[in-house]
Amino acid sequence: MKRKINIILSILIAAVIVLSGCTEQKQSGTKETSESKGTSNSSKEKAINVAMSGEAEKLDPHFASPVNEVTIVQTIFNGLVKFPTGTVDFEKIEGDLAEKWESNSDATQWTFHLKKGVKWQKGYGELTSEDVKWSFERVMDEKTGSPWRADYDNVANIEAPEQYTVVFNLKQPDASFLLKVLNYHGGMIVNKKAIEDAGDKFMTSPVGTGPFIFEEYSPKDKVVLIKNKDFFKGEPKLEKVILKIMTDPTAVEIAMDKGEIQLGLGIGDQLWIDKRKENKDLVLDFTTPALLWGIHLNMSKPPLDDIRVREAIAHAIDIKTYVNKVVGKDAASLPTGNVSAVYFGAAKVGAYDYDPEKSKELLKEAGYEKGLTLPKQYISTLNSYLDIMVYVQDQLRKVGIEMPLEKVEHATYHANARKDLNNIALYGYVRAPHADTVLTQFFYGPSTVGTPTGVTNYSHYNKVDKLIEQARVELDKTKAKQIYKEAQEQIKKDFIYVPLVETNTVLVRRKEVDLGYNQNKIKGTMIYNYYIDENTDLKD
Amino acid sequence: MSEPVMKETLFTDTSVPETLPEVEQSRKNVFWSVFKKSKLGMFSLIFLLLTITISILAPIISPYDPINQNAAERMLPPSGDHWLGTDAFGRDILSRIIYGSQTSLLVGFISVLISSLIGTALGMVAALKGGLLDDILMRILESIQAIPMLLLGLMLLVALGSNTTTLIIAISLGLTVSCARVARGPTLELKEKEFVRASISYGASTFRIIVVHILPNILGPVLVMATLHMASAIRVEASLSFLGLGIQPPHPTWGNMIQDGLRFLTSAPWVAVYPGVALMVVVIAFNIFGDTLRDAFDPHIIRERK
Repeated sequence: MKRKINIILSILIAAVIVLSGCTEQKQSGTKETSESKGTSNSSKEKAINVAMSGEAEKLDPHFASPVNEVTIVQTIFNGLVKFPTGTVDFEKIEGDLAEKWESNSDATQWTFHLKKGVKWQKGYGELTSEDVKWSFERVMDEKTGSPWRADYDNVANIEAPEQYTVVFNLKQPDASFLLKVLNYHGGMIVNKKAIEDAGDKFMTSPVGTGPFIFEEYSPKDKVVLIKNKDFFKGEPKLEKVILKIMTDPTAVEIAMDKGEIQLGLGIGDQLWIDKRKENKDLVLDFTTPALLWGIHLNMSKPPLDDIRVREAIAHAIDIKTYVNKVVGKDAASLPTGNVSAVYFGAAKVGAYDYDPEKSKELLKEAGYEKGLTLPKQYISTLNSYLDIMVYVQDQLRKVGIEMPLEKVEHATYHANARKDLNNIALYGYVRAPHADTVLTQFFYGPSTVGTPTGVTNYSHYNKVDKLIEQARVELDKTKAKQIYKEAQEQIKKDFIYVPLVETNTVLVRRKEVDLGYNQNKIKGTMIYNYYIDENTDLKD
Repeated sequence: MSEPVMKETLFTDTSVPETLPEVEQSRKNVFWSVFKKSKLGMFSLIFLLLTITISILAPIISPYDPINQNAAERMLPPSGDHWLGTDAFGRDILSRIIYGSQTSLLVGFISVLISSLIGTALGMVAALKGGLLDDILMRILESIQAIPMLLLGLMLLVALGSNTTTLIIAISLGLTVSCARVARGPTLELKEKEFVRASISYGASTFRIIVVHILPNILGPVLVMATLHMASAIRVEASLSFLGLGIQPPHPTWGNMIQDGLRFLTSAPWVAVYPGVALMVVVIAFNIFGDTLRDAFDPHIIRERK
């Protein structure tokens, strides 16, 4: 009996493998057919179809977090300020709901003047400073349970002295406070009455001030948005935005080839990218802020407490080959330093040179002539993590360092790292594009993992604490940048963090889509996806 | 999970004849003639011997280092240099399959050895002693059996940490149960035979009864079972490695090679397909070999011949 089951199973596995190999031809066959039909249909009603990789259950911006949810929320709500759409430059932040703003001289009080005549969707009246005050207080209220509450720990109170004026009083000076009131996460302004009216269904009844109005949500199928004719920046060009839930990447590829889907997410692999580039109806976009990947070396435990060992590791990894040959130049680039280049205050201190001979010499000096075996490291089974770590493992082996790995589930991996169980922690991230966020979370003493205030300082590093605190209150941008530069240079000198690769978000759109912003290019995105705004259009 | 029960009934009706010298002789002859007659059985035997030889000689015959990465030779299709192509890290797939066979066969062999030894011993003792001991032992084993082997492996590996030892323990534990049942059935029957009762009446120890009378007579079913268990063990090892548990990178196993290649199935199918084929062929070979072995041990065939 068991024998028969074994045989049947093996044959089934083989059949599945062989058959799924065959589907490749079928896919490429559909490329030529029935392409015009889909496009003409969609241009008639001016509806754009977007592929979503999964459900979007939390459409309250103070809770929305995965890419699908933030993509939807982005079209419905506004914040006080925003990046120019399609970019992420801190110094070019512009008004969204706010007309203008100012801070006092020590950056402890920030005043925002709202635009007049901004209408809430679905007849909830005009936006006032009271709405803004209530919205932020909602995020800050522990009872709300918003994951972004900690972002506003520094806010002492919010005042609404006039109908169009909001004042934030801070506990500590914060020169980069604008990042907290962006049209992103907790900075999105919600309507008190609409949320109260929705009752239990507030998560799926979003009412905002943005270019599109939430129409319907059918689970496992789609989310439909219709245009907001009274949008304060002008009537949107698209009638409808239809976000279809498609969990199978191959199905998305076929639908985009046919023209049934206009916007979708790509896969960051050179082979996949090259294959998609063959279809001339598609445009591939590679956007920043890139995920910066690197390994954090725990300087508090042997053998990594020896700077020579850390330096040997830093020089042993050939990241140029990895970026150019493995991930590919489209989806990845060499890291520019320990803070990603697009962030405000990034000093571009550079990555470490590949010099295996120097590594071997340093190891010899440190007394590991015959080789060094590191303690076992945990690594996530997620391919984006595993691939990099297996590459690092091989590179270290070539200079005589053995790094045993143990694969664990992704959530366990992060939990273990935060419990200080990894001496070499691989981490890839995007943060609010400002040096302060990165330095505070990863290189600031109080953020050391395993401590009560711990965040993600896996290295147990505390040598630039003073500089970070100094820069945080520095309103003069040039001076602040100078301090940040000093901190980043010091971090590089201490060999506690080895930047490896910056991977971009890969996005795919059909060529008939006119994004309507930034000369039809998307260079930066905070939502890991395309922005859809009032100027986004479909061309014939 | 009714498979082992069925197996038990399969073997319990194999009423074991008393081992007279000429029967012994004829059984040997029949054994070989069955093998010679079954082309498939012979072929699988030769294939398995070849596989074992290849895995032992892996360091000599594999063309490349199985863990050495080479970014410049990433994802090459099969060619003269790399007969089965290269994977996402530029490692030679043929070499990795050859080294992977070491892992599969070794994990399979050790866990089958452990489970057969412990399982058979438990089954025989339980059957001979009977009573409360039998009840308790069999209920414990049945409760283990209630958990599917893959799930048992998953739980143990997560609880005790992912490494080769835990992997072997997990697979052995799962297989021990059916071994015990296979040994228990025929033992219960043998216990009632005159030569065993005579032995007991002479005051022979349990150990002696087992070694002299029981073991030689149930060796056939146990060997068949062990061979079939090899196939299961290899399959479970591959499944667990596929899920990222057990053998850790960079060491190749067929399971983790299939996992590595799965996402490139449309662009570079060779990465996943070849280890899949290797796994399939070896599992089928063990099954066919076990099947033929069972025919060869089947006493009914001897009688038919006589």
